[in-house]
Amino acid sequence: MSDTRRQRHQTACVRRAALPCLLGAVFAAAPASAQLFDSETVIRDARIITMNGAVIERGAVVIKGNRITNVTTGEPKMGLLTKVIDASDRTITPGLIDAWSAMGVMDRAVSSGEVTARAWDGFDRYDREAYREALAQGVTTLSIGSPVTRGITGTSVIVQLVPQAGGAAGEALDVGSALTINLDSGASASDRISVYQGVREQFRTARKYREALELYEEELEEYLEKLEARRKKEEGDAKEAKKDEGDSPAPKEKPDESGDEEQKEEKKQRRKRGGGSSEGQTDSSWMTQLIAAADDDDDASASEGDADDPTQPRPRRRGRRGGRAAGDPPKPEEKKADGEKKEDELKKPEPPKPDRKSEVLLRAIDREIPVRVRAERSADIENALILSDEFNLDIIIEGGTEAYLLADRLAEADVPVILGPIARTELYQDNEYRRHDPAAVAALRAAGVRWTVGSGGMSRSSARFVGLNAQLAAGHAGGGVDWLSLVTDRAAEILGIDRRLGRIQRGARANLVIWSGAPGEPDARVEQVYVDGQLAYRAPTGAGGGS
Amino acid sequence: MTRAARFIVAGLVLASWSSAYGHGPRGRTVRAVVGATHVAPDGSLVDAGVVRIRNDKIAAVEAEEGAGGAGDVDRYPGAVIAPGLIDLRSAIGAVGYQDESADPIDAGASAASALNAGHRDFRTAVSAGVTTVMITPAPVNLVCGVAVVVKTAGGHGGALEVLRDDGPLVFSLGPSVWRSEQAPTSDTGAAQLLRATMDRAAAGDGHACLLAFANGSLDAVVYCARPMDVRTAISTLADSNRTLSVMHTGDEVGLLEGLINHNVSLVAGPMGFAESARTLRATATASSAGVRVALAGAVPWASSDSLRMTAALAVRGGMSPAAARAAMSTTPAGIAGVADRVGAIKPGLDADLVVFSGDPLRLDSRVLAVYVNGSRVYRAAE
Repeated sequence: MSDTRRQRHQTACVRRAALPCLLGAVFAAAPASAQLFDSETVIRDARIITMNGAVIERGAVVIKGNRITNVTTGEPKMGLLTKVIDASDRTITPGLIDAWSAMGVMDRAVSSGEVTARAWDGFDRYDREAYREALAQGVTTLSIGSPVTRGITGTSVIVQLVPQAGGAAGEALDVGSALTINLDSGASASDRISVYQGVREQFRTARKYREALELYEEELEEYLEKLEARRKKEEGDAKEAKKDEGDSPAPKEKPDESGDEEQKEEKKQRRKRGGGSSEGQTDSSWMTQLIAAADDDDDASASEGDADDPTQPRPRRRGRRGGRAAGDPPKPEEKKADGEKKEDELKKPEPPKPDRKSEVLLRAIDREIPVRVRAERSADIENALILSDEFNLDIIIEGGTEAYLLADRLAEADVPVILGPIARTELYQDNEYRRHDPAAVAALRAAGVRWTVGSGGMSRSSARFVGLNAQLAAGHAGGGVDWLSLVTDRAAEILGIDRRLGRIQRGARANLVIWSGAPGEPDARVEQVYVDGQLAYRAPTGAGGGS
Repeated sequence: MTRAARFIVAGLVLASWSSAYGHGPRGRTVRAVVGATHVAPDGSLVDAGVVRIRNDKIAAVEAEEGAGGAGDVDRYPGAVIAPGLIDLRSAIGAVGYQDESADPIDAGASAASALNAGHRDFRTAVSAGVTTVMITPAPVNLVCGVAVVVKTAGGHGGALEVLRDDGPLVFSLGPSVWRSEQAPTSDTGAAQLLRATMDRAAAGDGHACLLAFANGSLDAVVYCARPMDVRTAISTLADSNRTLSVMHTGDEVGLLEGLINHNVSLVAGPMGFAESARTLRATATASSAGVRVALAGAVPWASSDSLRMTAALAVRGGMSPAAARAAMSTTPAGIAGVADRVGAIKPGLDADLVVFSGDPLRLDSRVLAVYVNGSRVYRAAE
């Protein structure tokens, strides 16, 4: 081959190979391109308390993106782009979890506490000092609910203190992580009765809403079947008529089209409803809703003959409003005397008016989300157990000052308890803490109740010392309880997030705390904190001060 | 009955009567309490866990048990032996009884007269390791009276063992001392009244306790609600020949200079988990700047864990662990004026000991046993 010809041949070869190579590179890189920009970080030569059964005396944790990709004894393989953090003589633990926190929300309840309220909407990312102090004590994750108001207060949120722009922090791990109910009635028996009945009514309304939905579905199916049948019949008639008269079947197509359109519309509505979204409702206050629901209850029960519930409120008789409200089964159609019977039978059933509150409650009834019930007094805890039985709820007791009095029942029902501050100061007042006893944790432990501690959800600033509260609890539990476990894997397990948080293991979120010594020792300091793989806190070097 | 017989009968009756009311049955006194480490008077942890006891006092502290002797030895493997904790802000057994606000200058009032020795809060305090408390009249008067320092257990016949009942003198500054119908009604009024009182005392006019404080022979503590009250206290009460301590929990680092210059001690606490970081740091800074800092818990208003919680929080604020441990026993004993009896594991002091499962600064350490005067007065359930 001549030179030029060879050259041209080579160029041609290159050109021919270039395109497939380029395409190959692009396709090969595409799925990995995201990882290409998430470089690996290795924290090496540390003592790792995994909370997974093992303590690695000298090992490393490998992070990529927001996950832990590997936990090794000794040195892991390191790539070119790997960032290496030397943690010799340090101890690494999972980030601490405050299972009952009020951090980032107003101290005083401003909202009226509705079923559709979301704690996440009230979270303030810019409470920088508070977040910095929490991170300085190793706290990375908070479960936050609406404080204080009574009854069903909305849904709680699990927040990770992931750094945001400007020193702010906070990303939701789960926005509607649990339904929150405050059954705490303080010292007032009459309050207890009214709060509990109010909560029960809302759940009953949710049940009735579901019944109405199911009834509507049945009736819709029937209607569509009948529609189909009539269409076929009319088609048959039309064919016969066509044979006779040769008319255009156009007018007969109307029921056809409208049937299809209606079917499409119904399917659309069903899909929307099935999503069960919990968007906020801009209705009037929950009180009006309650009366309305009770009202419809009353009307419905009047038509159903359900007169055996003496606890239903009896509002004054109101005129029927236009259209149907939630909880109302469609009225049986009146028979018209003059042969319009057919059309009446095929009247399209109306769906129940959308009830966003009931949709949220139905998720709790279906056990898609747990229900956190704040209850301190034994009577309130009992009411919580009864509520959970009646509506098949997956409950967690928050507070539980007197839970030790019901320890066996809680253990039997496998209801976990999240305690608040172990050391209380309001001991001489006649309030819900009257029977507070630090020894309660020992009783819960002995009965086999699943329990942990949070900071208590009452004060914005106590989340940072949830670890100290856990130490107090571990002490009073009588030896053999690891305080660190209370605020890592045990908290994660009770909150239902233990696959992602609470342990240092492959696949878990990269929430890590690097301590200067054994965590829990008085002079151990937090040096660095990683949340979702990002450096969220670094202790100031030099001065021995803690926070 | 013959005269001799009458005497014998009378003697027997007297003896039995006195044993019933005068002295209760004596507890079992041990020869030694053995752990792994002990807390030294300076607050450090020392690897010597044998505390020998003789005649209700600490006889020696050693690393090895050595030869035997008469009496029991209580062993707690791995435990840390600390001196009995001392709480200076306690109201045990006297809740609600000490308020006497008729006269703002009430030097004659004594907290001892308000004590309810049988109150269960004493047992709660013991189970938390608090063996000595200082109880003061409620801080509702400018001059409240004298405090009393008692042990929470180990007394005889149901009575409390009183370590001291003649002081310190107690002052108070802040909104709680203001009145509506009589002086003082304000800060300036309170300061002026206090200054006038001290001037008269310096001239020899006033209650004996005030005179004694003025001439330096009686120590005093002053409750200060706010930082400005600390300044007023220093300017009206502090003097080079007087012994003064300030009860104040705050975040004003600017006060430290005054405290150091006038040799005023500080009693801080109780502090809780909601305490601001500034307060924790200020307390720690005071200690490292050389102020004598004692920590207080305020049982029963605060929980029985409050003294150790306060100490753990102070350490988070930057206080050295040794200073924090000393601040729960050695330093408060000095401020209460009973350092010759309690507050440290030192030969010659009362054998008031707390056996912890670990470092007392760790809140997950449990109280395993408590000894007062060498007898075990509390044992944790297993």
